[in-house]
Amino acid sequence: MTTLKIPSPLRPYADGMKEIEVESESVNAIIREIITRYPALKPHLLDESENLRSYVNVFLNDEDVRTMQGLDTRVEQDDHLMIVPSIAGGSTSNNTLAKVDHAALRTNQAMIIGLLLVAFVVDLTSLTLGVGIIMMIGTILAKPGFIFIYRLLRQWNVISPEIISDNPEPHRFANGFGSIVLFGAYLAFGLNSPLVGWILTWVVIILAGVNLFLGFCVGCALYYWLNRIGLPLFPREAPADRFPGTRPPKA
Amino acid sequence: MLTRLAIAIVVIITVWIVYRMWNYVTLQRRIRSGLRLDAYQFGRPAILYFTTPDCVPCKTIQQPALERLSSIYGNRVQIIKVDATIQPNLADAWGVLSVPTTFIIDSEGRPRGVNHGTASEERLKSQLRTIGELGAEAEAIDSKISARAIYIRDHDPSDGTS
Amino acid sequence: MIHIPVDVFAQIQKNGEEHYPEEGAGLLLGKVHGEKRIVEQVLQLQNRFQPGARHNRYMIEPQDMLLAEEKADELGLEIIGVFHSHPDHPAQPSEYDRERALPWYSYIITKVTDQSAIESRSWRLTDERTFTEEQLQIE
Repeated sequence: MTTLKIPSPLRPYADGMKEIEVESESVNAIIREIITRYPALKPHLLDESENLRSYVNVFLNDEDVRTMQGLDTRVEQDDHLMIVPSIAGGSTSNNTLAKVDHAALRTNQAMIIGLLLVAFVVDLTSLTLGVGIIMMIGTILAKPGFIFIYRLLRQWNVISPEIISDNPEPHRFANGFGSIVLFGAYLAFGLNSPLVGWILTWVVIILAGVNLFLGFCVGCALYYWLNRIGLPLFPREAPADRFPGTRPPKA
Repeated sequence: MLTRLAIAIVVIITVWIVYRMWNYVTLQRRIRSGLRLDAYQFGRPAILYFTTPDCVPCKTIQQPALERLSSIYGNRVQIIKVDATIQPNLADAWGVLSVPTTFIIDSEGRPRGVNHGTASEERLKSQLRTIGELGAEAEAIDSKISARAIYIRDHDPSDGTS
Repeated sequence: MIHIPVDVFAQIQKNGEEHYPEEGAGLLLGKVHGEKRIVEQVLQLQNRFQPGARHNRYMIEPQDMLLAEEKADELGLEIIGVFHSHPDHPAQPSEYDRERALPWYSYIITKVTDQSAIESRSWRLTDERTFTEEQLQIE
């Protein structure tokens, strides 16, 4: 048994309790336990996807469990637990950021690299086209093309999600660019230039490999350079209560 | 088919070698022309971090990783942050191709490694360790953190032993 | 209804003006008597959000909250809410505010334009996680 201290804003949803006795042995299980006991707490602790809300911080003996094993941190008898709120907010919704699953991105890159290498070694030009098509579908749907493989791996519990607030545009751009290069490769095969075709295929393999193994995002690099020369690629937000395109008032 | 397999292997190895060499050359050039980093103080390793205001993975991945590193190692590691849009010449001199880019600099001011993309806290830690920085004290902090993890795993109640 | 003495309110406005064009933020310390809330002091804190994004984002970290709670205890008060400014934006909560807001706290938002505090309004998050305005009484 351990005690969990509840901050003032959440007490009305826990029958006014300042401290709750809990029996579970991991932070995750403790959260589930208190939500079961006090269902009114749930919408204020978890968001619609049942993830812990960003302002909920759990401290175990004065240390944020994020510096330990996060929600899997184990809790022992006589440990002192607290929920500490952090406060955040801002004046406009940042709509260029989305929740991007980096595990899905990596699976996508691994599939692209793997299949294109097989295509080269076995000399199967149609596979090159196939990968290009899947990448293009992914670009159009704004999802990684090989997401169906990722979902299978999730089902078999081989991989877990890594969701990060990120700008999805550079990743989408990289996929689109890759698929066009692969279409070009297939065209080269059709025009009887297998050398050109395979070189283009290798360009995609290397770009995807650099992304997967070195963490270097080619789409992001492109955004960096366009920005440097003064041509930002993704839309900047217009300030609220002002018509987009008008000049801000003089300071 | 075997020749093609051989070609594939050769290409991969060549790309790898080119990458390593180019990194080496970039770092050597920095060593020779001097760091030119006013913020760097001798005697402590540093992580030189290039970012831009619009770089999203910088804010969401790299910055938090650097902050976690900083909260664990405190003054033992310097974090030097450079906005590549304010100091584009410095970014070019360091061969920055994209952001975030982080350079590992040892306590004698020699650049020893580079990450051309987001680098996790683990990766940065292991890079600092490989070059022999983060000595005994830091090892002690690390083993305290991991010792707790080991202890907790050994006492997993779900296997019915405790 | 939330009551706030004029000199304490002036501190909130000044905080917003001083941080302009970035967002300033801090905590409201006071007492709650049923539906009546009284702000007795404010704690001004550092905006811990990424530099470069502080013109439209603010953050108070849990470590700062713990220190604030200690301070409040010393003064015999409670943390009853948050104040922050919206540089060049209306004094009402955005979707970003709403996603990250806690119930029970009073959120006093101040619109600041050209380094002058224009208007302050107070808001509370309902059980259904929408914001409703709270009457702000300066005395």
